[in-house]
Amino acid sequence: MFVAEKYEYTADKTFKVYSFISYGPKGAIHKIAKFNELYADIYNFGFGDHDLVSGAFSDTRISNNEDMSIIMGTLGNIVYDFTNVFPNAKVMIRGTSIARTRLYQMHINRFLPQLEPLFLIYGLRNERWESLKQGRNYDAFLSYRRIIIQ
Amino acid sequence: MLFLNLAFMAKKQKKQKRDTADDRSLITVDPALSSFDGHPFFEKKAADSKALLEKVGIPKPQPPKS
Repeated sequence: MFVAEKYEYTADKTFKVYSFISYGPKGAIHKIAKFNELYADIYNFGFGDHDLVSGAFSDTRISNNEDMSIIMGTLGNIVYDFTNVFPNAKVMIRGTSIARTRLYQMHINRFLPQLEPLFLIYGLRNERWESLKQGRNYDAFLSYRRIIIQ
Repeated sequence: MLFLNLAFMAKKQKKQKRDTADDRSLITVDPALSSFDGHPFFEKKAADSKALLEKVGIPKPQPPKS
């Protein structure tokens, strides 16, 4: 089981889109995570802020809502839930910038003791995949689910 | 004795079932939530990742060492 502080979220009927709201000093910010299938059982994990009025998305805005840790915990839970529904799914995660990818990496490392029994995680470094090692910087991540809880 | 064993097994199975049910969270479905299929924001991210995977390939999990 993956345990982290998180926001409540909902899924669409395909279980490939997840929605939640971040709350903080900047107000309520609607977030959407979507798994796009690239090849059979290989998905890209996309994530961004959704403006409910204009319908526009942003993944470059820095919301400063002082809840990054809760957002990352929510994303971890979403990936966990998604791979319960699609156990053969391999999920690719990368930020829109080096800074965003580092942010993902920081939180993957933080949750690594919980993640390692559940996922095989690879990091892309110098255009080669390797098993994730703490202290190394990666350009992208690819996770395979190890254990499916029935 | 057989009855006791069966009762023990049934209790154990019941406990296991409850434990696994607790381990798997329920996902709340919002039927009104859009699938955002074809949305350029996610399509571009997917296209970028696909291009990267075409270049670097996909890692194959190593079998556990015996």
